[in-house]
Amino acid sequence: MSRSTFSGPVQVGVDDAPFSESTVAKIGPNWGFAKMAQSYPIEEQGGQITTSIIIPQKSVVTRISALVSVAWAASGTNIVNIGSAWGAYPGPDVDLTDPSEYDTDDLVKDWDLSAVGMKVAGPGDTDNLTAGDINNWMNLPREAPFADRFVIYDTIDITTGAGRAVLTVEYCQAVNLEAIA
Amino acid sequence: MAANSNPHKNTYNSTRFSGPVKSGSRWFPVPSYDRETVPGTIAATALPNTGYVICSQSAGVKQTVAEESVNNIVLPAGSMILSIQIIVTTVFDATDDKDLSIYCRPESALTWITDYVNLGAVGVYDLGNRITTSATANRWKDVSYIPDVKAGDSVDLIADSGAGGSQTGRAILTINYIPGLHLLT
Repeated sequence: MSRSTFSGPVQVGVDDAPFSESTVAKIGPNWGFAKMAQSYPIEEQGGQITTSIIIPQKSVVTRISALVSVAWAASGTNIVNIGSAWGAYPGPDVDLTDPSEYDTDDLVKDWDLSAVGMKVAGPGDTDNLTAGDINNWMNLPREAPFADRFVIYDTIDITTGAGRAVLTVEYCQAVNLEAIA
Repeated sequence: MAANSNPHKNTYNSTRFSGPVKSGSRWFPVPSYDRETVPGTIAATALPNTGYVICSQSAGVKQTVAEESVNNIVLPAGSMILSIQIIVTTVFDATDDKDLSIYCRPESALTWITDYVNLGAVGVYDLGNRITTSATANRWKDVSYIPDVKAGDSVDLIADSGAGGSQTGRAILTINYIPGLHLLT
C-alpha cells in the first residue's frame, strides 16, 4: 500500500470543542495523540542485541509486546530484558560490547517468553526496574544523552533454544511529559 | 442491536488515507538501517525514527450458534494484529464455556484467529492469551499468511459462539492493528 508520512506528531481533535465544567459551558481543544508502533523480529540468543526500532526522544511508551511464535527454551523468569542504547552501530542484530552506550533493562526486566502467544509487559516485568527507570516509559530517555534511542533486547539466560517473536513498542511521539516525569 | 453490527457513528468529519500513516522526524533520504547501505556505524539520531499509526475497528457481536460475519471489520492485506479486546455487556453462556472465538473464512473452511474464550461475566477481556499455537501467532503476525487468503486481498472477520445457553450474550469487539506491515508475505 502507499504510505502517508508526517514529521509528526499526528494528533486528532478540534480546537473549539464545547464542554461543561461544574455546569459552566466552556470551549477548548480535545486533541489526542495518535498511537505509533515499531516492530522488529527477535530471537533467543546471547548478548545485548540492537534492533531497528528508533524511538523519538520525549515519547511516552504505552505498550511493549512480544508476539511469540516459537517459545523461548529458557525457563523461569530470568529470560529477556528490553532496554535502550545511544551509541553508533553498524546495523540491527549487533551484539553490543560497550556498557557505557546502553542499558539492557531500562524498559522491561526478567520477561518470561517461554510460551507461545501475545505477551504484554506489565506487573512482574516492570515493577522490578532499577529505581527511576520507570520514568523511561513516561518520557524516554530519562537520563542523558537526551536524544532518540535504539531499542535493544537481552536474552540473559541463554540456552540452546530457538525462541522467536516479534517485538513491538507502542508510543505516542514526542508528547514531552518532562514537567511531570 | 442487529447481529454483529458496526456501532461506528461519525461525530465529526474524518480524514482518511488509503495506506498506512507513518510519523517521525526522519524518514527520507536517510539510509535504511542495514549493513548493505550503511558502511561503518550510524547513530540513532541519524536514522529513520518513523512509526506506524495503530488503527482499530470495532463492532458489536452477539451469541449465536452459527458463525456470523462481524460486519465492517475487514483488515487490510498484510496487517499485524496487536490486540483484540472484548467488552462484555451481557454475559455469554455457551456449553463448556465456548462463548466466542474469532475466525476468518476466505474460502469454505474456517481458520482460527483466537481459540474460544469464556465470557461468563460482564467485563473487559484481552484475547491475546487465546493464541495457543505457533500457527495462530503467525496469523496475528500477518493476516495475509492465513490459508486461502489471496495475495493483496483484505481479510473479513467472523465471530462464533459454541452451542447451548440462552444466547443472550452481547459484546463490543475491537481489533487493534498495524495496516500493511507484511511481516510474512
